[in-house]
Amino acid sequence: MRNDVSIKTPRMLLIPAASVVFLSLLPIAYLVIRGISSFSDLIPLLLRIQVLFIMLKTAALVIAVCFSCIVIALISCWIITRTDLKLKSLWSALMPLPLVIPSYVGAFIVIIILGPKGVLQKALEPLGVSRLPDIHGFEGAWLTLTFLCYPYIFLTLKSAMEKIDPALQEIAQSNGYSYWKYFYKIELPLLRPSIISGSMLVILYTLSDFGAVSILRYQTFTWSIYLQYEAAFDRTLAAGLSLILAFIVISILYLESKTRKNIYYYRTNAKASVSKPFFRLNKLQIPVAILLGAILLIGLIIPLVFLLYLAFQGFMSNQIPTNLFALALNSLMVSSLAAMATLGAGGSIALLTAKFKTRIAVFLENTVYIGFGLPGIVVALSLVFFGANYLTILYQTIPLLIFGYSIMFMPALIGAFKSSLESINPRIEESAKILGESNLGTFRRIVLPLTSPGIVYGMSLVFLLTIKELPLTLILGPLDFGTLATALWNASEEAFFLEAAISGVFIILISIIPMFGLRKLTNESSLWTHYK
Amino acid sequence: MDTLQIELKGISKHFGNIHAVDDITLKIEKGSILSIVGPSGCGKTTLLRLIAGFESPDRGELQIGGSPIWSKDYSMPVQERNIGMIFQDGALFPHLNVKQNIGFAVSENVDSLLNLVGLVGKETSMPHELSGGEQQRVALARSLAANPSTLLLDEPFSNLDIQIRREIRTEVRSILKSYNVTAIFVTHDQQEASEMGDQIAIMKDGAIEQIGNPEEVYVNPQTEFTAKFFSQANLVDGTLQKKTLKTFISETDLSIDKNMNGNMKLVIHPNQLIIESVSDSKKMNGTVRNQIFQGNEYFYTIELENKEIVNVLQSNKQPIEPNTPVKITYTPGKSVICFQEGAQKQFKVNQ
Repeated sequence: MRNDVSIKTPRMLLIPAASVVFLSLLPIAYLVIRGISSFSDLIPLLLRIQVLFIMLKTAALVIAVCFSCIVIALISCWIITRTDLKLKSLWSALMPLPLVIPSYVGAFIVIIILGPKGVLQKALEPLGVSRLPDIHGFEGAWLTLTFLCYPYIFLTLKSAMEKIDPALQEIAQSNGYSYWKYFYKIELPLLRPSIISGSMLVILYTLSDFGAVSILRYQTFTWSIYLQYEAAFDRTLAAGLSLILAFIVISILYLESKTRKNIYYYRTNAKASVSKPFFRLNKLQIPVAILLGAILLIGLIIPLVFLLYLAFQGFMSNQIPTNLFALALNSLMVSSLAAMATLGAGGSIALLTAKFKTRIAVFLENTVYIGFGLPGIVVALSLVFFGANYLTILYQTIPLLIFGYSIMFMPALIGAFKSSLESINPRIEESAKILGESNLGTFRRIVLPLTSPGIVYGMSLVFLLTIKELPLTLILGPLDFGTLATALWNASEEAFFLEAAISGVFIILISIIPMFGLRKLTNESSLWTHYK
Repeated sequence: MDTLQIELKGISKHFGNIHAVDDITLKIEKGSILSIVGPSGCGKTTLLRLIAGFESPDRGELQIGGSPIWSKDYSMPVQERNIGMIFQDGALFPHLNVKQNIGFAVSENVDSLLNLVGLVGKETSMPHELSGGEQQRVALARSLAANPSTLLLDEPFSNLDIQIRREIRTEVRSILKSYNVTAIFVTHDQQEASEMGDQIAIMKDGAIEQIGNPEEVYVNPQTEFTAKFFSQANLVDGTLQKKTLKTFISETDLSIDKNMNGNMKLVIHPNQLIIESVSDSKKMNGTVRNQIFQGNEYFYTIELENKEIVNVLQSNKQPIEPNTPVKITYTPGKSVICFQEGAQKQFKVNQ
């Protein structure tokens, strides 16, 4: 089938879509323009030794986290795809789960356990240990981010490993290669694009993370920007640092999109494997299961158990955040508003890009994805500068906060909505039209009911992302406005750990609400996708 | 003429450099079914989409029931053309049940339509619960519910099993006839085209090669393409000189009705050739390369000594096995069709 409709992009969609993209890029564009115009003031600031330290510290953390994530992901993927480990599907479902823990919750648990007067130190006290090395700084941040980020590589690597034709190994071995020589010479090069692509995501996460590094007091870009913003009267340095960070992130996004094309190239001739040569673990079954279990224990179970335990203690000792109900309500409110706003803003872009593959539509879509990659703190700061100068009425109001969420999370909604739009057979819409239904009627009676699972899914994603969001809420929220996330962060800053844990449990509880919806909807929508 | 339902005048449509539809002129009478048959990519689906209104022609004119639906300065919206269309994959609305699908446009008569297409009892089934044949029955009922003046069918049976195809073909034809709907039926299967259509149009590279009733087109192909693609005939090199017709197979003295000479491609239907296995290699002029059992007859592929390939259809008690040397003979019939430099010519043989 050739083009379904004439190739012209319809104005009715193009105008709102282009306006949304323009608006969402306005603040960041403003930041760049301001940065360039005050270039001469900025240069001496950025050449300070302090900035060099921030760069080095950030680079050190990024490299360390990335390396340890690769090691964990490679080992666990290899075990799951290449051995006869029992309960494989359970392991592969559990291994990516640490992804759902917000970084500030992870960091907060690290302090609870390994921090000064933490659980570990208390446990070791009878043995005469009165001090542990301080977990604040590099070590804590490295540990926290490693266990939160390895799933990114795990997921990309696992699907790549499953697609490698086992015949390759048989051929290599029949040519006299040992297994490890085969792995090193053949399999690893084939997996390289996936490892790189997963690592890019880890790098992006680490560069953008604010929660963990701020709680663990490690001066990367994000925390330094925040400190500068909070402390200094002159915010030029904060703006300069944001610019550098934005530049780095956009470069990585660009590289990431390149490597993704490579993965596709590498996978094209890989077929689903019929029989896989498994390594028999025999006596090693239990030790290997313990190894994977240990990763999950650190990344998932300990954080959750401690969070629940501390929250329970908090309730028992009545150390409940005074405004818990209001906080929960605020979190619910901004998350729901953000979900609705992104639908309003992103809907036209999804419709446009799903139906019309014109150059302008592709350009708009790619551009809007920049917002997804930008660290929350950068988006927040650009909105602060822009809002303080041009939108004084909206500055530090809920609408501006929602606008910020939309910039960051719109691509999640667009992706979900667009893929459900694309799964509709175009002949179905044509059938409705030839039966006499108007374009609007076709949208209402056919497109909307068929894509509603995708829309709800996209909105739920935005809801989940918003409820966990920290730096943007912290900076752009109105005075005295708090959500569960900011309350957790503030409480752990002031060492009110029990209060913090209660907020953390509530974040997780509220996050579960849309998850139930997601499950039910994916079942229904999968039913529809069976029908072609 | 009030019996004329669909009229296309010089319709063209291109996509980039490809002329999908190239200057097509067609007339279809009210209540008749036109089959358009051609290889994939010949533009037959595009032609339907132009009539339906999903695409706009580059030039030409479209009329339905005597009034224009598309011309240089007028385009009637899809919704107002009162045309029905059935797609290859049915394109049922996946979130609506059978009854809701049929009643999408007009909710009256749903019960009688269900009865017509034999789906009583399946009212509340969802599309994904139906077989391919049932889905196409729903699609047909859904189109008929809107009482269209014209129905376009775009390879509606090509996703179905062969047995179901036969059955549904005759059924759909009789339903269309009983509703007196004018229909255009597109397919790449020549047999399906002959069974469904009152008229047949052979399409190639965006243009119509020949149009006529099925028998006429079969017996009297106007182009080499039609002879090969629709009539499945052999095009055998031959020369006619001084009333002697010479092919690689045979040399016959003929008394013919006109004065013709020169090289030609002879249209020889597979059942006009006769083969017999020979043991004497001096008598052989071909070898069996393939043999397919077709019920009453065998379909043979023969490689001639000069490497030409011809098809032969004949009934044998004992099939001739592949690689058997054969003697192949040809006796011209009363009327011979041939092509000289692309132009079709005929001559009669006086016997």
